[in-house]
Amino acid sequence: MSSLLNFLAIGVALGALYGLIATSMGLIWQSTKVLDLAVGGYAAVAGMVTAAVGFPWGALAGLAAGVAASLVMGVIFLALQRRGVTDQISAAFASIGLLFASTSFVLWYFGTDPRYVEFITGTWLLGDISFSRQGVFNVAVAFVVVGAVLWGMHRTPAGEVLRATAISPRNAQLIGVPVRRVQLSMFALSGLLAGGAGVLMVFTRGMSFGLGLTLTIAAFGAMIVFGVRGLVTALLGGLVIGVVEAVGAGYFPASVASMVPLIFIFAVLVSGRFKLEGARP
Amino acid sequence: MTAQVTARTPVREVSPSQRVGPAARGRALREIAPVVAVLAIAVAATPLLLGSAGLMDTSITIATFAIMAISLGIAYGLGDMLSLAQATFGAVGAYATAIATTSWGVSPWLSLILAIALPAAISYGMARLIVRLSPLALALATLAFAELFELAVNEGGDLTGGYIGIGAIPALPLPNPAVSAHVLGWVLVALAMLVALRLRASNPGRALLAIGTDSVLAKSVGIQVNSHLAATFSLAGGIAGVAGWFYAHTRGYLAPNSLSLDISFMIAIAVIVGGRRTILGPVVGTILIVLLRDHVPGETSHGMFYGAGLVAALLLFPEGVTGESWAARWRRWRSRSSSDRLVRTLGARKEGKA
Repeated sequence: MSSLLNFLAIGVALGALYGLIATSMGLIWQSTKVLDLAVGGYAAVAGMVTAAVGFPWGALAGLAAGVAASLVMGVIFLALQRRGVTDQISAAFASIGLLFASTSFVLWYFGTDPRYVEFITGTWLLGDISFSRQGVFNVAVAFVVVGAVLWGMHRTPAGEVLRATAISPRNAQLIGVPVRRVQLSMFALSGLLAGGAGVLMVFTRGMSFGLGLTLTIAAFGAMIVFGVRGLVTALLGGLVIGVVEAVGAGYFPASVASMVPLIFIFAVLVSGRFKLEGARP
Repeated sequence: MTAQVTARTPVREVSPSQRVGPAARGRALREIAPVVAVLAIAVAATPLLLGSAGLMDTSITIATFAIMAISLGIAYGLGDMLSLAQATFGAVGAYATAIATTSWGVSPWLSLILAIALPAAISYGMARLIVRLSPLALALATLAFAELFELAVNEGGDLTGGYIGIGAIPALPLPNPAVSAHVLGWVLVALAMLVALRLRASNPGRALLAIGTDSVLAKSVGIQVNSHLAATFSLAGGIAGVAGWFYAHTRGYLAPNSLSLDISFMIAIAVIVGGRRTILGPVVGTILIVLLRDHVPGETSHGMFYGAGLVAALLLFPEGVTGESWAARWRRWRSRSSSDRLVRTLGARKEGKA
């Protein structure tokens, strides 16, 4: 029983990071209806930059790198809009292109070695259950950040503008909202969230060049687990995916554990719970 | 007398489809021209490739991936089903033939049947589940399937060879293996193109066009939307299986990462860059991508070029390089530059008068 609870604790700490990346993906999805599959790439770039720069400025440099990577996607999105390429699959594919490019950049610039930075060490014991302090910090940061984003979106004038743009970019433009700038700032915010997850990931498990796609898949699973309802459900979905992965890794071979989120994603997609435009009769 | 003979001459009933006039013949020749062009280029290039093992290998690689790209061209170009598991279906065919030939001693020619049937059956079963999804959800479902297959192969034990893979896959029993593989590869490419052409011209192909235009309307006129799409997806899976069979017997070695998700992405990029709605597009896209991969220095930087190439193609040629109307683009450019000249001339005259 205690081992199961320990796996749960590990899963929650990891899931908080998945949730943060899923929140980033959900934010872009809600505001632009673009499935940004490059979010894992933003996290990977941010994590590797953090490790390369080191303390004390590594985290800030990592966040800046995450934002810069997401702004590239923002510019691509706006360019596609301007060219009249507005279908979801083209934008998603462009984000896959960016994911490829960012993974390749990390491999080319930082090499194949995984990077890890020690930040908060030690554990807290509660009975037989061991809580990593870094893990607790991750969960706290994820909840505080998502809470702050939600507060900003629902309680500030800037948030009203963001929501108005998300609901109807055309109407927002008619009332004088600089829609393109607002959409670009959404991408920047998304990069900040995913980059933050990447920074925390390098403190928790380390980061390697190939993690971008894995993080994207985990985040996508997290985003759709409760049916793409909002940012809180994306965060909670991340916790579920993290727990399933950690418990699976505890009791089954690593490959089988890795299959669980994928089977889950496949099942959710086939069930049609993730509604997208263009579904057939 | 002459009139009687004429009257006795039997008159054969000719259906409208059999009345082949010069226009129809011309159209048929135009349609088949890309296939002939691809074969002609492959034949013309053969003497140049003979002296270089590297170039011959590149040609075989292009042919392998081109077959997969054509299969994706059928699924995505005709059926609007973007599969990110096309290399996975190829891998199913490759593993089927590798296991059949190395473990059971089956002839490579006989195992071709298995290499086609197994991916076709798997892709059909999968298609029945996913064809009603939106294109993006379908693509993501195939991505999840591709990842699952790779993990399953890793855990396949002695059957799949796990992480190590399967070695010593017999080469095809042909004289001069490298040249034969080059010739066979491009013949398979031409055959795949012909299958795609035939499908386009057939009733199921027209049904697919109707589904692509408006699936609700297609269903309302009695077209079995899901059955047609599933059959097309299965056909594409079977053709990808042929590519996998060819890959296994020309490489001689197969591992989980041989035909991985990266290759599926590469194939998808090739189809998008080349043009998914044309017969030639997938082949042209594959040639561009493989040559880029082979000639850009540093393997680690390939992804940056793929990514940038994909984004550039989406922005500049949304219908792909071969789907673009270059004549119209040239006319637009000409008219724009002439109108710019006119504006400049008028501006200069105005300034002169002032």
